[in-house]
Amino acid sequence: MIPEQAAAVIMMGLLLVMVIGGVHLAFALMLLAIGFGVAYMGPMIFPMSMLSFFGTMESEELIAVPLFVFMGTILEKTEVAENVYQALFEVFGPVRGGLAFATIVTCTVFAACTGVIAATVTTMTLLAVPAMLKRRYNKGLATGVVCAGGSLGILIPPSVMLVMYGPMANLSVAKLFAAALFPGLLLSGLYLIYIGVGSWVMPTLAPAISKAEMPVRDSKFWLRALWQMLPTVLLIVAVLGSIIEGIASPTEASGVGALCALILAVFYRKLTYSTVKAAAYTTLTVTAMVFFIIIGAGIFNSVFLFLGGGELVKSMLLGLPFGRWFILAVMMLTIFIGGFFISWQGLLYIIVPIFLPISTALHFDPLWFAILVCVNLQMSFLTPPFAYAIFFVKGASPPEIATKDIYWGVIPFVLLQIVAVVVCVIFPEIILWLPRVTLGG
Amino acid sequence: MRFVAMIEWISRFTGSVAAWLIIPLLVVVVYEVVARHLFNAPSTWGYDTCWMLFAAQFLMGGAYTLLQKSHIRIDIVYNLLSERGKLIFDLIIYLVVFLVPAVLFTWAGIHFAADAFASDERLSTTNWFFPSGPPKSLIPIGFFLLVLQCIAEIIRSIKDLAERRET
Repeated sequence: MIPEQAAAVIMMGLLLVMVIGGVHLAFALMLLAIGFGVAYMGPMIFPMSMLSFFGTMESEELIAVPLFVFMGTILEKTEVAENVYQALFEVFGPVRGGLAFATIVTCTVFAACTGVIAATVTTMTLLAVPAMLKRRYNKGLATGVVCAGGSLGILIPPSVMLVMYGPMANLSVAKLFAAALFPGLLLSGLYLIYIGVGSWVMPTLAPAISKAEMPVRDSKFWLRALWQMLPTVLLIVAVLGSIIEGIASPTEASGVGALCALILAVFYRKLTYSTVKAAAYTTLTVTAMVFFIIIGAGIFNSVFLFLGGGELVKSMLLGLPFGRWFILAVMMLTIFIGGFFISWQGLLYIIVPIFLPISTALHFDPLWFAILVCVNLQMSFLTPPFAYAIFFVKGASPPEIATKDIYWGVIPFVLLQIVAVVVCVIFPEIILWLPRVTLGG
Repeated sequence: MRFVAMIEWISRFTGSVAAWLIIPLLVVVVYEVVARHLFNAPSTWGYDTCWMLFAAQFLMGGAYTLLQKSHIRIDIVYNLLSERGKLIFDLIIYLVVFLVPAVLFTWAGIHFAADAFASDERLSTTNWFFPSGPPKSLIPIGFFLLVLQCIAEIIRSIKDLAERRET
């Protein structure tokens, strides 16, 4: 029989081959766990899997996943993005790059409504891309902005990624939410600066809209802008505030937030049976898809660790020269490169559990490390060939946009995300300050 | 094909039940928040009910998610295959990667739940001490629905393959 650690390497290798080859991630994980589990642990693997599944079912924190997805989908149906974008369009329109600013700010607001990105990216592509193309914005910029802005949804709380990271790493989800807020805003800020500087240096990149096209700016104009944005912003502030201040647990906040989203939908006269039904079904497929990966990865990891795979990676990485910062760079680079081929759920549940003990051994702050990983995982949405954000944008944009345009368009934003990771490494307080003052570290 | 249509009806039906579970889940979570924060009197049953609803949702939703082709995969290499190649590839995936774990976990789940019922095991998460048999049964139920849907997908792939050969 093959020695155990070699089997662990083969197991990981097979997983990569299967996933890149096009096998569904959740079931590739389960099949490999069963195969290697039966070979090396015997029939024990089955009761062990059952206990592992039951552990996931019993997790109080993970209940927030379907509720946040539901809240986001309902808010999407109330046309939050449309309202906010319309208001910002009118405010920023006459400036160079104004529509791109409006897109990033709308995405940031929307990111704070939802924990996933599909809805944000699709909605924003339909709204913003045609508007920008009509005003002769550069195609790459127009689509890159939507890809990058839309991907903020997975980082800015409430975020499904953070809810999943917490129980896995034994970290409080509330602290993760608090820690992710400023890095998310940092990214959003970097995007805005890039657009500002870019459209100032190269006016053809994002020309200003002519004054004639804009509405008159009287008090009515500002009131309407406020009316369109305020209820949503208040809801977000209440939900996130109660979590970050430690008043409510993320699960409690997700329930109340979902209820408030329904009330908001009534307020905007968008609540119908078909809206709720569509939201319930979207929530179901997202939740089932994610949780089959979670339970599959849970047993895959048990078997991988049993075979000594974790120890192997640990001794290899800790044996590297040049000290702990170099090892951190290697880990970050691994996740970054992995993001080209594997979705974030896979990376989060396969690679991160292997890296966690290494980060602990190197005395990195677990909360800080978590956010670095999540900012990094967020890039996987933008890095081809397997890039969700690009798929969604391509799927929803007008035919004149070629995939090549989007590829060129996202490059500056990926570079900005790398800058953000580096900034967070140099200034760890960006991550650690908020959770410390509100939740006591 | 009557058989396939029947299975798909089952997947759609259980999928719709699972989808609507979000509403009771929402209600119970909000009820608990009100009871705990406003009246300082959390219920004994709220906590366990929440996670059981949530577990029922995603486990029962697995088959419907397969029907909707919403389990994620990377389709870059897959898209390079010919139509026939795709059908053969899918058939292999359904037969090996889906069916094998689903059957084995259904079987393991039946034992897992049966043991809990036989020994009248109770949940120890809270002081409610609800029997653990029902929530544990969700695992074999979920995977059994997946087995059914998987068989439907296999039959459909074989039929499509046969039809392609004729034309």
